[in-house]
Amino acid sequence: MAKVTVDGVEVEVPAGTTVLRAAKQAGVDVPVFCYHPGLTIPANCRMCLVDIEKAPKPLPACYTEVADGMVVRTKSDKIKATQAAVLEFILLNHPVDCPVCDQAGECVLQEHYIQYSAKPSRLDTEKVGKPKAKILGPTVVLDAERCIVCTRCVRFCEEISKSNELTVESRGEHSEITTPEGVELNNPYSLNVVDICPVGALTSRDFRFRQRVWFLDMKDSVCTGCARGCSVRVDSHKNKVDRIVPRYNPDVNQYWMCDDGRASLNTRREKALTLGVVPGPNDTTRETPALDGLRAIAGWLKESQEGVGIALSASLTNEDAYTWARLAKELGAKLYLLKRAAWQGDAILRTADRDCNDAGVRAILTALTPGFGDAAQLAKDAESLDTLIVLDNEIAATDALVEVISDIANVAVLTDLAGALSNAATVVVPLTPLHARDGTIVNTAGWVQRLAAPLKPAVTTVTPSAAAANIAHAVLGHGEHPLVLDFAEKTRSSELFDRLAATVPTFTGLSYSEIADHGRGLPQDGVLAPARSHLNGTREWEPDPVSPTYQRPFHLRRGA
Amino acid sequence: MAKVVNRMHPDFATQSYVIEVFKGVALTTRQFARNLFARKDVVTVQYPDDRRPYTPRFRGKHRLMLRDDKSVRCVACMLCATACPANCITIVAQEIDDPTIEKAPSRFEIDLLKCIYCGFCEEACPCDAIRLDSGVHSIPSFTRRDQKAGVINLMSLGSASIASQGGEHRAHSHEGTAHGQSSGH
Repeated sequence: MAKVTVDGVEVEVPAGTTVLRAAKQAGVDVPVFCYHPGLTIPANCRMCLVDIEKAPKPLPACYTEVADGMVVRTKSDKIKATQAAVLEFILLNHPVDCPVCDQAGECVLQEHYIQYSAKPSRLDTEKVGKPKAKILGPTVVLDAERCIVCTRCVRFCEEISKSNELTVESRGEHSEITTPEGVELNNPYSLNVVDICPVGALTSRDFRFRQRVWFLDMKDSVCTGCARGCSVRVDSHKNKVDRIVPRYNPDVNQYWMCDDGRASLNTRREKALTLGVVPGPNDTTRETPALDGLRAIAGWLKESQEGVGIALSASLTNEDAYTWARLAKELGAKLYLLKRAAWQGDAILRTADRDCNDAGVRAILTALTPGFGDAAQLAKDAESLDTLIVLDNEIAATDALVEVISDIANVAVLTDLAGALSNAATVVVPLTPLHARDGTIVNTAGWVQRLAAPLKPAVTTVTPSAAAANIAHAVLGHGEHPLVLDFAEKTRSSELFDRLAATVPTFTGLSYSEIADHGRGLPQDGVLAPARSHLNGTREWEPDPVSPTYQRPFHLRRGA
Repeated sequence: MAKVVNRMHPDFATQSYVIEVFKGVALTTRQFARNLFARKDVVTVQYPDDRRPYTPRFRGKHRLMLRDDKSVRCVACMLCATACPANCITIVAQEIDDPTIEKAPSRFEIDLLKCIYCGFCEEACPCDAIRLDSGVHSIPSFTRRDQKAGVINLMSLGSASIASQGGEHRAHSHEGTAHGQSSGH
C-alpha cells in the first residue's frame, strides 16, 4: 500500500495504482482524452499532466504509478497553464463544427475546453484540411478534421476486437486515422469505436443526424440480442428509440457491446406490430386491437376438445414466463420452450445462444411445470393438438416451425414483430414493443438484470402478462378463481418478480428493488452474493460519463 | 381605509336622457359628415388595403434564408429547436450530396400557432438561417394543419444573407478567430 496526497486529500492505494485512479479515489477528477479504463495506456494526449512533488516536470497521471509519500497537485497554476496549453494545441486545427457535429453535448473536448481553457484561437493561418464524412465501413463514418489522434479506436481494434483495421497515417498535424488499403472497418464490434471516440470524429452511420443528444431520454436497460445480456442505455426521444449504447458493467460486458445488439433497433422500427389479426366472416381476416384476438383465443380454449399447447419463447422475461407457466398449468395445457436459431458466437461477448433469458425461463418452467417440451416435441405432438398459443418475443421463425403450426387447427401468435410466424397464424395479438415493457432477464452466467421501459406503448397492444390475465379471466371464470384473483392483484413486474422469487428456488432471496443498475447474481448453493457497492454511490470508474457538468436547457429537463 | 366617492347627482333633465340622446346623435352626425366630405382627417386605417408601417424590429412570420445557389442556409443543427421555449420547431436532418455541407434539413416545420414570436430561434442560429423580419404578421388559415409552416413555405420569404457560412471562413479567415460563422446583418 502507498499513501498518496492528491490536492491535500490523503488516500491509501495499492502499490502499482496509477495516479489517475488514486486521484479518482481522492475525489479529484483529472481530465483525459486518450485514457480509457478498458484499453492500454499510451499517455499521448498529455491532458492528464499533473504536478508531482520532487519531479522536475509535470507527469501524465494516467501512466505514472504511485509511490509512497507522493504529493500530487492537479490544480496548481503551473498545471492550469499546462492544461490550457495542451487544449490550445489540440484545438489548433479542430474545426468549429459544434453546431453540426453529432458529438456536441456529449463531447469530452467541448467540456474540457469550457472547463480548462475557454480561450479564443490565436491561429492566424489556415487550418489543416482533412477528409470529412469519410466512410470507414458499413457502420462508421470518420471526420478526420475533428480527430485529436488519441488512438482509442486504434487500440480498441488491436486489443478488444483484435481485428486491427485502424491505424494512424502520417505525422504531426497531418496524422490521420485510416484503414489500410483495401480494408474497411467491418467487425462485429465496430460501433464501440464511436462510443469511445472522445470527439465527433467517428460517428455511427445509423445514429448520424438522427437526433441531437441533449434531446434524448436515457434509460438503463439490457440488450436482448443474445444470452450475454449486455448492460445498455436506451436513448429515446418522442416515444422512439434512437440508439442503444453499452453501459459499464464489470460483471457482464465491461464497456462494450456488439453491433447486432444495436442494429436490432432497425428490425424493430420496420416490423413493429400495432394491430393484430382475427378471422372475419366468409374466410376474411380483419385487423384489430389486442383485445379481440384475446377474446378469440379464450373462445378456442373453452371449446377445445383435444389438446391445448402453449409455446413460450426463451426470450420472455421471467415475469411473463412465470405468469404463462401458471396459466398453462391451470388450463392443463402442454408447455413447449422454443429457441431462436443459434448464431455464431465469439470469445468477446456474443454467445451462440440467441435467447436472452434461456436460464431464467428454463428455471421457472422446471420449477412450475416439469416435463415441458421443446420444438421437436411440439412437432411430434402437433397432431394431438387442436389449439396452439405461441408467445413469441424474439423467435426467428424457422420453416420447420411454420410447417408444424400449419397442421394445427387454431393457432394464435402473440408477438410484437411481424414475421413468418405471424403470417401463418389464424389469430395475431400485438404485444407491447420490447422497449415499452419492463421485467427481468437472466444471462448465461446467471446474472439477473432489469429491463427498462422508456417508451409508451400503443393502446392497441398488450403485455404478455396482461394477455395471460385477460385469458384467465375469460376462461376460468369472472373473479372467483384464485388464479384470476391473483393475476388481477399482481400486475407490476416488481410484484410478479417478488412472488416468483418466493416460489422458484433458483431465485430465492432476490427482490426486484435490489436488482439495480449492474444487476445481481443468482444465489449459488443457496447463498446470495452481496450487492455491489455501487448502490452507495461509490462506482469504481465510469468511462466518459455523459456530460458530468452538462445540464439540459430548463424546458427539456424532466421532473425539474 | 374606506375611500369616500363623490357620486354625481344629475338633474332630472339629464337623467331623462332625452336631451343627452340628441347630443350624442349630433356628435356622431358631425363626425360622419366630416368623414364624408373632408376625408383627410379620417383616423381609421382601411385595413387590409392600407396598413400602418411596422417598426423594423417587428418580429413577424419566420423566413428561412438562402445560400447563393438558392438552397436553404439551414444546417439542421437544431439549436433553434433547443432554444425554442414553445417547442414549436420540428427539424429532421439529412445527409446531402454537397461535400462541403455536413447536413441539411429534410423537414423544417414551425407550428405558427404554438410560436410565441420571441425571436430566440434567430438569436440561437449560428448561420443566420432563420429570421423573423419578414414583416408578415397575420397568417389566417382555415385549418390547424395549414398553420404548420414547412421549409418551402418559409423559404419563399427568404433571401440571400451577407454572412459567411460553412467552410468559407477557411478561404478568407483574417479575423484571427476560429469563429468564422459570425452572423452579420
